[in-house]
Amino acid sequence: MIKVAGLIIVIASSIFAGCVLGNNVKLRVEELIYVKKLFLMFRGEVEYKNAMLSDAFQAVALRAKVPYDKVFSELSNATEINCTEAMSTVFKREFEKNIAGNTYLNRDDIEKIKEIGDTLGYQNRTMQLSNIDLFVERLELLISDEQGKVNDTVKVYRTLSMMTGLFIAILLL
Amino acid sequence: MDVNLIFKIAAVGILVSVISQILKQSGREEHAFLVSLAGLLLVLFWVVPIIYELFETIKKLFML
Repeated sequence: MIKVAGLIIVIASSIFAGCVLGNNVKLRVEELIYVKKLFLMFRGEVEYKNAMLSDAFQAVALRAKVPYDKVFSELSNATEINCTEAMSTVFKREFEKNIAGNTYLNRDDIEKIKEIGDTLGYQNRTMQLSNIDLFVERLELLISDEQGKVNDTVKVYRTLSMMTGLFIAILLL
Repeated sequence: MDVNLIFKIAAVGILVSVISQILKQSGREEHAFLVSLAGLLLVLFWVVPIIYELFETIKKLFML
């Protein structure tokens, strides 16, 4: 009886792990969409309000959720105070410190987002907007790729987790 | 030798083939190969001691 209960627990926990992994894939796509929204907000601040970089970052920081608000707030501070560090260094450092490990984004996503940091702070308004547009376009391609694969990936994770649970149950019998 | 071993080997074989198919369908052929290899190693791990016991029994029987 205890053996059966143990086997049921093993199978249930592996199915649960599969569901959690599947859910993480969906949440990663939502996170990417949110990052795109933040950069579109930033673009709007620069293009329509003609805001200085520090004001644009501050405006986005006020509307962003944790942990993105910290990143944009630090960037705003870095541009206001006479910071000797390059904007790209601050951007990459803050992103690495606050975003990596605290969100559902994986390492590749974070590296792609850090690339936009290289274009911040030294170009004119037009170039800056073009670079943001290019980044948003790349993000849109990534999002559409991932959205196409998300249903299949979730099914695979759920099925594999159930099979793995059964496999472990057979090993324990 | 327990008869349950035969059922366990059969269950492992079925599960490994299902998992391999799912992984191949989703484009993860290397993972499918690794799962098949793991299943094979597991079954060998169960079967090799029994085969060894068989040969020892035959040796004792024929006093070789």
